[in-house]
Amino acid sequence: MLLTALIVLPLLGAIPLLLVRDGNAREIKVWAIMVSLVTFLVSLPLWFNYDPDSGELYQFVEHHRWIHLQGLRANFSLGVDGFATLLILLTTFIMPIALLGSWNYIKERQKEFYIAMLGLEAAMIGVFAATDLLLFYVFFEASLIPMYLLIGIWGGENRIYATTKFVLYTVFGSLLMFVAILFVYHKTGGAHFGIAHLAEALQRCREADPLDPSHLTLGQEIWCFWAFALAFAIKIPLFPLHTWLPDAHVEAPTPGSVILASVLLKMGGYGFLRLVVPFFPHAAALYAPFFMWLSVTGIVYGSLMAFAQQDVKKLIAYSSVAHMGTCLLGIFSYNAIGIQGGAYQMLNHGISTGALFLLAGMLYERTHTRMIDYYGGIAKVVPVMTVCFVVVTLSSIGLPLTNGFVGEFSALLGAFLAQKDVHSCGVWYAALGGLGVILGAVYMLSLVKRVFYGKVLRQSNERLADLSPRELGLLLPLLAMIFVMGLQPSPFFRRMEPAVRQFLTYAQPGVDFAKARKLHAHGTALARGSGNPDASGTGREP
Amino acid sequence: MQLLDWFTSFLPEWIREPGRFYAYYAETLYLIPLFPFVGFLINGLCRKSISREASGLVACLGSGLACFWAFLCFFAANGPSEVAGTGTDVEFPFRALHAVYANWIEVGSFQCAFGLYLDQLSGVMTLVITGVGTLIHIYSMGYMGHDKAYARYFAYLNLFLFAMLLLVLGDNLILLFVGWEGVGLCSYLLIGFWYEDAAKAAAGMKAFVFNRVGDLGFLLGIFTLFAVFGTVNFVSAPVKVGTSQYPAQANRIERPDPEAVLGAASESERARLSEPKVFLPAEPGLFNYAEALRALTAGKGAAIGNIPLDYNAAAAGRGNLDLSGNLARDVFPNGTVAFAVALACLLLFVGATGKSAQLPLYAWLPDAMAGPTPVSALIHAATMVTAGVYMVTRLGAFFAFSESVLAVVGVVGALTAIFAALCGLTQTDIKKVLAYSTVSQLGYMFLGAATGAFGLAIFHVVTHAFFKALLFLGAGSVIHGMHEEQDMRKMGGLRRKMPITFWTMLLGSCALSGVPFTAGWYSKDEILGTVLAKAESGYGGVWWLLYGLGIVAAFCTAFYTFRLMGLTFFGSCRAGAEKEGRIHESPPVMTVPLMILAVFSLVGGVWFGSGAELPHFVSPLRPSYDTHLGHALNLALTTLAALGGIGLALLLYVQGGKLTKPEPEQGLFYKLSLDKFYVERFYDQTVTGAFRLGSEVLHLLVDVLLIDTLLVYGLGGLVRWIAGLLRRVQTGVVNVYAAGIVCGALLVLYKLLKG
Repeated sequence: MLLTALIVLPLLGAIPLLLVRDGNAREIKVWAIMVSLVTFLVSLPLWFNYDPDSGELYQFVEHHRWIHLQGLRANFSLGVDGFATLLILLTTFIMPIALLGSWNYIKERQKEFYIAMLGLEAAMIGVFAATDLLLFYVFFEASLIPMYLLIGIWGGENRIYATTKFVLYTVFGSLLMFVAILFVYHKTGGAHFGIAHLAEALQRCREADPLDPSHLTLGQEIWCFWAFALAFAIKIPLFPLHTWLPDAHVEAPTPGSVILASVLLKMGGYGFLRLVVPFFPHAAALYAPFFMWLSVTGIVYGSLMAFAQQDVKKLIAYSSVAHMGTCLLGIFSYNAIGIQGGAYQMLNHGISTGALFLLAGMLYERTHTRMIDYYGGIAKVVPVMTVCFVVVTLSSIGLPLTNGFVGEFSALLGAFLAQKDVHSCGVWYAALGGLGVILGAVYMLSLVKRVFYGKVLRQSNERLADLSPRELGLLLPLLAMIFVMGLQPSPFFRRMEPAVRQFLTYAQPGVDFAKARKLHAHGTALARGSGNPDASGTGREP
Repeated sequence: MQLLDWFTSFLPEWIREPGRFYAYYAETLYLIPLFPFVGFLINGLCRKSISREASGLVACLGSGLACFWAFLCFFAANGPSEVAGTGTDVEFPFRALHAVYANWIEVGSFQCAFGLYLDQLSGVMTLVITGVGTLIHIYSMGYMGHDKAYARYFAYLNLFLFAMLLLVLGDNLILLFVGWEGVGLCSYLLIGFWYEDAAKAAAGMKAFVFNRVGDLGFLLGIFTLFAVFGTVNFVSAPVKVGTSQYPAQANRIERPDPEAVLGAASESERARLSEPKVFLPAEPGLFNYAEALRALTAGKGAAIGNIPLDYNAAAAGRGNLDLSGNLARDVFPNGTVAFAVALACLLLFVGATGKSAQLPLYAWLPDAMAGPTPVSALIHAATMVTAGVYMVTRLGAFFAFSESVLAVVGVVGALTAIFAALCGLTQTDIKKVLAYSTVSQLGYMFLGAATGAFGLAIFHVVTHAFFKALLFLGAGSVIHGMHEEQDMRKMGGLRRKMPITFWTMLLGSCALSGVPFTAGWYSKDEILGTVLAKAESGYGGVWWLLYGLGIVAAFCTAFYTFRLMGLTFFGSCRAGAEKEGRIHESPPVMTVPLMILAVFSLVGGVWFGSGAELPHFVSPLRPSYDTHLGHALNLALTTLAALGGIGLALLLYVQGGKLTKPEPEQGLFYKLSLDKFYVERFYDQTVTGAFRLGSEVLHLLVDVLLIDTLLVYGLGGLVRWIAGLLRRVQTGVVNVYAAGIVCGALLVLYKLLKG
C-alpha cells in the first residue's frame, strides 16, 4: 500500500487547500510544504526496504482491478525496481525544496498554485510506480495538466506561447505512443496491460512463426519503436526535439523549472529504460547507433547553445539538453556501466540542475531580471550565494568527488565500451561525447565569471541581500546530496543492478540482425504470396 | 653526531624508529592529506570569525603536520621494519606503504576504492610537496599579510595541498584523476583569487578550460587502460594480516632452470623451457600487468611486439596472465596490446600536456601569473605543473613499451623547452620570464622521461621545485618590496636595497642556468647526457635534433635568467625617486624560506644526484642502451651553453654595474619573441572569437530558424493548411452532404457485393 499512499497523499493534502480562502497565504504554504514533507518521509521505506538482493525485481507490488471491460483489461498495478525507487525518492526529495523555494516567488493565486504542485507530485510518482502500461500512460499525460497551468498562469511574460509549445510538443509524441500502445496490446493477445507481461508477450510474438497472425514483424516493431521513442525523446529532450525546453524553462516559475528539470525530463530516460528497449529490442538495437549519435550531437550542440545564451535560465536549460544527452549515451551503450552511469546522471541532473534553477530564481527575486549581463561582480556582495553557486557549478561540470563526476565518468566509460554487436565506434562516442567535459566547463564557468566576478557593474547590485536562512536551508540538502552521491555512489548503483540485469536480458544485444532482416523480407514475401494482409505493418484486432 | 643522538633519545620510539611501526604508518597514511584538509575546513568555514594570526597558523600547521607525517611514513617505509605478523625486524630496501580505506565507485565490472600508496616515487613527491609547500605557506603569511581575504587564501592553499597529495598518493588512476582535477580547481580559484579584476578571473577560467582539454585525453586514456586490463589500480590489493594491511606480493617470475634447458631433447623443447613463467598475485594492478608483459616478451626485439588483445599466457603454460576476457576486444577489433597501450599512453600524455603546460596547451600558464606570487611558486612552478611528469613516470612501464610514444613525448618536450625559452628572452614582466622558464623546464622533464630513464624527469622535478620556488618567492619579495611593481624596466639596482633577496635569487639563477655543481646542473646535465647517449645508440636522427634543441634552450635559459637578474638587481634604479625611497627588504618570515630554498638549490643536486641515486631510487625502469655514451662531450656543451648564456647576459645587462643600453625594441625576432610567436593571440582572439561567433550563428540557424521556424511552425502551418482545405468541404449546403451520403453508400454496397 506504500506506493498507493505516496500517490494519494499529495492529492489528499490538496483537498483542504480547496476549502480555504486565498487570503491565508502563510497557512497555505506551510500546509503544502508539510504535505510534501510527509510524503517524503513516507517514501523513505523505498530506500531502506528495497532489497536489491532479494531476487524480486519489482517490490512494494500492488494490484487492484481498474478497468475490466470487454477487450480492455487495465489494472491499477504498482511496483518499483531500482530505477523507479530512486526516481520516486528524487521526486519526493525535491518537492519540499521546490515548494519552499516558491515561498516569495508566487504572489497571486497561491492556493491554486500549491494544488497544482501537489497534483503534479502525485502524477510524477504515479509515472514511476505504475507497472501497468495504460496506468503509466494516464499518469504520463496527467502530469502535463498541472505543468501546463504552472507555466501558463504563474509564468513570465511569454508564458502562453511557452506553455502551448510545451504541451503540443509533448502531446504530439505521446499520442503516437498511445496508438502504438493499443497496437502492442492487441498484438499480444489483449490479456492485460502489465508492462512485464507485455515485454515477454512481445518476445513471444517476435519468435512466433512468420505465418502466424500473432507474429510481430521487424517492420511493425520498428514503427512501434519510433512511436514510443519519439514520445520519450521529446520528453528527455533529445536533439533536435529540444526547442520546447528553453522556452518552457525561461517562462516557468522557479518551482516549475525545478520540477521540470529535476523530475519531468527523467520520465523520458525512464521510458527508454523501462519501455522502449525492452519492448522493441531489435529495433532499438538497429537504431541504437543513431540515438548515440543524436546524444553526442545533443551534448555538443546543447553546450554550444548554452554558451551563446544571454539569459541565465535559458543557459541552464540548454545545459540540461547536454546533460540528458549524456544520460541517453549511457543508456544506449548496452552495457551495465553505461546504463547505470546514465541512470545515475539522471539523478545528478535532478540534484544539480534543480539547485541551479533555485539559485537562478533567487537571483531573479532580487533583481527581477534573468539577463546575465545585468549582473557582474556580485561575489563580493553575496559571498554565501557565490559559494553555493560555484559548488553546484562544479557538480554540474562533473568535478571528481561531486556526484556529476561519477555519473559522467560511468556514462562515458560505458559509451567507450559500447556493446560490439550493436555499435562499432564506441571510442568516438566517448571522445566526442567527452567534449561535453570541456564545453561544460566553458559555459558554466563563463556564467560564474560573468555573474559573480569582476567589478560590481551596477550600483543597484551593491546592496543585494545575501542568502536568507530559508534559502540557505533549502539549498543545503541539495549541496549535501552533491557530496554524498559523489563520495558514496555504491548504494545507488547497487539498487539499480537487478533492474539493469533485467534490462540487458530484454535488450538481447546478441540479436543476429542479418538474419532478422532476411526473415523480415522473407515473411513479407510469403505474406504477399498468400495474400495475407497481416505483414503490411499495420495493426489489426487479434 | 653524538649531539644528535642525545637529542633524539628524548623522542618517542615511533618517531625515532618509524620502521618498527610500519603497519601503523601504513594505516595512517591518510593523515598526510587529511591535515591540510582539516586546515581548509577550519579556514573555509570560519573565514569571517578567524583572526589573521590563527588563520595563518592553522594553514601552516596543516601543511607542516602533513610534512612531518610524510617524513615519518617515508622513513617507516625506508628503514628496517617488522615482517607481517611475526614481530621480528628485517632490513627491507624500501617497502611501500599501501592501505585501502573505503570503497568508492562500483558499477558493473568497474571498481575503484579510496586507497593510498606510498612508494619511492610518490614518497619523494610527497616530501617535496609538503616540504616546499610548508615553506611557501610560511612565506605567504608575510606576503599576503595585508590582504583582506587572508583566510580564504589559506583555505584554498590548504585545499590545494590536499588535492595534490591525493594526486600523488592515490593508489589508482581515478584517485590520481581526482587530485588532478582538484589541483586544477584550486589553481582556478587561486589564479582568480582577486576576482574583482575581470582579467584575473578570466585567466583562472582559461587555466581551467585548457586543463579540461587535456583532461578529456586523460579520461580516454584511463578508459583504454581499463578496457585492456580491467582495472585502474596501480598495484594489487593489499593483504590483510590481522587488522593491518600489507602490500601484496609482486609478480612471481620463475626463471628457467639453465640445466634443464641444456638437457632439453630438441630445439623446440629448449625454446619452451628457456621461457620464464610469470605468476600475478590476486587482483593484479596495472603495474603487475606491465611487468608480466615485459617479462613474458623479454628478449624478443620490440618490447611487447604483436601480442594480440586476447593474449593468454596461461594457455601456453607460462604463468597465469590471461587477457582473453578483456573488454578492449570490443573496442579495438584486431588490435594488439601494444597498439592499445600506445594509444592509452598518447591519450594520457594529452592530459599531461594540459596540466604541465606543454605545446600546444601551454598558453594558460603565463596567464596564471595573475594569481598571488606564492601561488605561482607553489602551484605553477614547484608542484601542480609537474603532475604531468609524475603521471608519465608513474605509468612509465607502459610508456616504455613503445619507442614511438617516447619519441612523441620527447619531441613535444624539446619543442616546448626551446619555444618557451625563446619567449622568455624578451619578457618585461618579472613573473612572466619565470613562467616561460617553468614551461621550458617542464619540457626538459618530459625530454628526460622520453629517454626511458624516467627517474631523471623526477630528479629535475625535485631540483626544479627548489630553485624555481626560490626564484618565484624571490620575485615575490621584489614585487612586495617594490609595492606591487612587476615590470623589470622599472626596477634596477635592487641588490643593495634587498641583499638577502639578491643573494638567494642569485643562487637560484645559477641553479636554473645550470652553473656546474648547482642543483639544476646535475639534473639538466643528466637529462641532456642521456638524450645524447640515446642519439648515439642509434635510436634515430630525431634524438640528435632533440639534443641540439636542448642545448640551445639551455643557452637561452642562462641568458634570460641573468637578463632578469641584471634588469632587476644591477644598474641604477628606474622606479622613480618617490617610489625608490620606499623600497625595502622583506621581513624574515619571507626571507628565511628563501634562504632554506637557496641552500637546497645549491646542494640539492649533490645530495640526491651524486651517482644518480635519486633517479634510480624513484624509478626501477632503465633504458636498454648505455646511458654514459658521450658523457664528456655533453658535459662540455652544457657547461659552455650555461656559461655562454650567462656571459652574454652579463655583457649586455650588467657591465660595470650599469645597464648599458636600452633593449633594441625592433627587429623581427625581438617582436616575435615578445608576442610569443602569436600563439597566445591566436588562442585568445581567433579561437575564442570563432567559438563565440560559431555558437551564436548555430543558435540562430539551427535552433531558431531550422527547428523552430521550419519544422515546428512548418508542421503547425501544414496542419493549418490541410485544415483550411478540409474546411471547404463543410459548405453547409444540404444537397452536397446528401450527395456525399449517397456516394458513400454506393461504395459500401459495391464492396459488400464484391467481397
